[in-house]
Amino acid sequence: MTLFGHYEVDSWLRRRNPTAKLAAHLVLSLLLTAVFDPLTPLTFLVAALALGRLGARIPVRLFLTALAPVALLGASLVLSYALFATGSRSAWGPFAVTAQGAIIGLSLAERGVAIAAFTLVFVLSTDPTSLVRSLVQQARLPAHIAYPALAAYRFLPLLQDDYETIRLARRLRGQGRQRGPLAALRERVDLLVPLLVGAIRRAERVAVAMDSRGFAARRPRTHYRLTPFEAADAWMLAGTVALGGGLLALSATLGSLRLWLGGFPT
Amino acid sequence: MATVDDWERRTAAHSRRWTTRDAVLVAVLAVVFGFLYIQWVPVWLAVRGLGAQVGQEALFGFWLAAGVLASYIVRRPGAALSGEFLAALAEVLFGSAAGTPLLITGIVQGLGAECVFGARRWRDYSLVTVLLAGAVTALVALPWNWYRLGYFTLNPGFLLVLVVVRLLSGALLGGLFPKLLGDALARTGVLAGFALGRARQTPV
Amino acid sequence: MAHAHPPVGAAPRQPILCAHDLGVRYLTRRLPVLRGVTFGIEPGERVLLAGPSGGGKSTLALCLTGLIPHSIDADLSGAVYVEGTATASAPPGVLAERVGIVFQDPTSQFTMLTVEDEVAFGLENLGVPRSAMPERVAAALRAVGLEDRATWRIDRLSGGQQQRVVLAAALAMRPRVLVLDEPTAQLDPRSASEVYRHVRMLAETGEMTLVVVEHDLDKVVPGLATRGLLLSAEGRVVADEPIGAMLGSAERAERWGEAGVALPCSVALARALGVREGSLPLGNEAAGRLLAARPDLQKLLRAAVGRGRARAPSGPVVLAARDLWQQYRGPAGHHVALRGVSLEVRAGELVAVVGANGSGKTTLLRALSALVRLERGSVVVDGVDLYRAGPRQAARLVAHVFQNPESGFVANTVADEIAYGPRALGWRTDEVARHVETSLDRFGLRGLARANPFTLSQGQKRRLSVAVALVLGPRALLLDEPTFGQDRRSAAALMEGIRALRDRGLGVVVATHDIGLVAETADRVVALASGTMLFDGPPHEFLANDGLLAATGQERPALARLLAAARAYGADVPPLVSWCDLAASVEEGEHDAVRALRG
Repeated sequence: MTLFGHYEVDSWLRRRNPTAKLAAHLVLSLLLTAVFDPLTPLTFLVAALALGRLGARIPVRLFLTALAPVALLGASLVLSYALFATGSRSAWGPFAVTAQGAIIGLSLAERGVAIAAFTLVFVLSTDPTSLVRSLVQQARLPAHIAYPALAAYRFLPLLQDDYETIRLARRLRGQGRQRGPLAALRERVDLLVPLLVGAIRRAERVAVAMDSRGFAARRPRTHYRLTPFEAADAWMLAGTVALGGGLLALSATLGSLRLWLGGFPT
Repeated sequence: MATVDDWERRTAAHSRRWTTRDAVLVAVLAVVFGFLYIQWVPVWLAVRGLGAQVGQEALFGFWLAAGVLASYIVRRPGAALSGEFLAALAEVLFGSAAGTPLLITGIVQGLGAECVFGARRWRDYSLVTVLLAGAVTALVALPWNWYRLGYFTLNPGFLLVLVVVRLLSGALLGGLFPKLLGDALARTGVLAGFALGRARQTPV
Repeated sequence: MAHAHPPVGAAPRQPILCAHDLGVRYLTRRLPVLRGVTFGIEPGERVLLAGPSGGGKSTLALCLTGLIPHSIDADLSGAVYVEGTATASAPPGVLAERVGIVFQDPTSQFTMLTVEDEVAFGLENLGVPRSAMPERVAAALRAVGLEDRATWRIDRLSGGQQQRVVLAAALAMRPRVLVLDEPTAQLDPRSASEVYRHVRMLAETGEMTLVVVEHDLDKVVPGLATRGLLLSAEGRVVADEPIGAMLGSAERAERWGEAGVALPCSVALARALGVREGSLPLGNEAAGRLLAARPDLQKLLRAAVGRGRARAPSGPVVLAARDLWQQYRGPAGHHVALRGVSLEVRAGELVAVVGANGSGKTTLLRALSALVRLERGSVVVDGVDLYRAGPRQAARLVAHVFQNPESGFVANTVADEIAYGPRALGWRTDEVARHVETSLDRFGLRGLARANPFTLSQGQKRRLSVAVALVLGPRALLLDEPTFGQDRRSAAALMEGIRALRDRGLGVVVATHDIGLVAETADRVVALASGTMLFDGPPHEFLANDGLLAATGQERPALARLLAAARAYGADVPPLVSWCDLAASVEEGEHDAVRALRG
């Protein structure tokens, strides 16, 4: 999944309070975490796509590109649960798999994709600065953690460039010619040191610059822009709970819902 | 100019308050690990694809490294916790399949590490302490992961293997690896402004 | 020599800033970097802080803002007072409202993502009421000419604009003192002028006290700095007087030259022409008038034409790049970095590649080392097609030195770093050891063999990366911005070394925005803009073409502008562009100033 840079299309969701959106995401993710059947997460996924399309103006194409890696990781889950879960086994080629395991694996995979889809909706409809401000103003995150985090967020494109440059420089020094997973791993770990050295040097300069603007003052902070919690945000939260509950109910009436709330799934 | 007493006085004074520099470093470490999380997707795919749940558990410690490294360098209460939280936040925002509940995992894991470091008053960061921090965190996060990842559907024997792998991964990838990395960084001299760098200096 | 510190409360005008026997030692070093520094600065003064590179100037700048000792660990003796308050005991945040500072690296001074948020950041930290913020933000942005960019994201701005945002962010806090620590060191000449233009406008209001750390005196003299403070290599104040007095006399100017500071062009020229009596001219206007009044000097200059280094290297072509096309997928879709660029480099030739940020300089250099994927084109070195041969073979033929030397470090000690390549190729142990010894001597790294490469100074790191690059005996050497962020003296020393390599038969390509380097060292100039090659020819043609200069973010060299001013006053002087031409004619005269300038 690449960093989508800055998606700045205005939409209803973009105008909502970031902490409220995060809370909504948490509600939906927690609900999904209790689900272990292969149908319910799909309904959530559809809801996420709809929400993204209508609430945040995200084109479906973006969803597909972003969710591809998660889907791939999920596919491996299907196979591994099929192989190692408890249950009656049947043969499938050289492997002994359980149908029950495969279903659990599928459910987990879909769950992951659905959650990633909601995350995408969140990320593409939220400005990072607003998120940090909102976490400070609504969620009471201490400013001396939040603002350094925002400053560190700016490092991402620079890290990308540095990583690339270091890789190239090492290729010139003669690395990158050994094949094999162990060597590949070793190389990746080796370039952590120059990468981190550059990042840490820069971090020190950023900290000094922040202090030069009085960051260490520890006075009660005022805010240039407020991130208010409005009625629409309350409605959004309520709507999210309703949506999650509604989808679970829908799945229950269809007879496909499987929750794990204590005992083993039926 | 400075005597050993000045030295100790200064070090003690520094232990009391977080500086902006410490806070930015912890945040930057979290972002770097978040960056690696995306950058190395092919690695995760390979390990999980080939190793299934064992592979997943073997990678467990890596998600711990940011917080432990943060505490190892900065040596203050709260470094592991904020490091873990921010690293988890970075993972969530970069599309982790776990979603926002990962923030809870991050906080729990951070607290686990903090307990171990706090028991040693944030002064002792020897190999044993760091390995212990990794292992304890591995255990602490287990109940939640057990549920979330549906491990209750797996063979008990296989589960035992997974738990052992997780403990090892926590200790090695989440304990030894950050320590080695921190030491390598300290040798480059770039950590002179932080607690780890100061601890390694001989006073003049 | 130093301004006396008036007794507190007695004098009608308090120094707004003063240092009293200030000494600073970083905890990681044995020797102090500042010693016994004492001076007082009156409100409204504009002080130039100069000295050899080694950290004394920047350290002093940090002390004046209280960042040492509050934000950066160091042993502080003596005291610094800002508006009467001692910095060491001031509560955190108080000093930020009194003294603002701008550092040299634009990208590492920001916390927020947009311009107005960044400018408001300091106000938020200080607890300024929200209702008061918009006005202060707007006023600060107006002062730097960015009021219509308030909502822009900072990373969409140019380097010069970014530094102006930093300036605005500092100004929003309404300090009475502004410290600028080499604010344009990382900018191309055009952006640098833009930034200083705004600083001068600020100075003209008379309300601001300025302390500017700068090694390129042409930027601040004349017109900006009124007083100069010179630090020695040991960190003591060795000169503290008005600018006119300081640079106006030949002996005083000499002292500055000896301290390693590059003199303003007008002063250097006057000394080079043998002007001894009276005060040396400060600035192009004064120099122009002087020349117009002295026909003998004009004659000397005219004699210089045509006697410069007429180097036309005629060695074999070592590197031939044909029709290079490169593109990559960026955030805004496909971006074409190189459009059909072709280039030939001969043995014993130094080619300078010039262009604004984003023009494709770095991509071109990487293409010449076969490091990037080409859509089309080929690079042939010594008959070998680099792209067919692969990176390892390419590394033996072409040495590439990156802008940040640390990118390529792979070992734990300097000796191992140099030995890495040969060992990987299977050289014998004694051969490797011998090679390491030679390299250490050749590149001035004696005594550092056991040191960790990351702990070296900038200059040492660069020399190490050059040493490493040359180990396999390549035919061509590519350098990406080798003088980036360095002062004149270290830059000159490095280029001296590079010239020596060229003279031994290497083909050298340097990507740079340092116009001085281009004027003094290059045999040929290649100009890029948006991936297209605009020019490929001799430096003096490039430097005389205003259109090309503008397209590549450059300005005319200081010497050229000075002579143009002289012609405007009626002097009959040739349009020289580089000091090399001048040195050739002043063989039996005073040309140590020129040497100091060139290194």
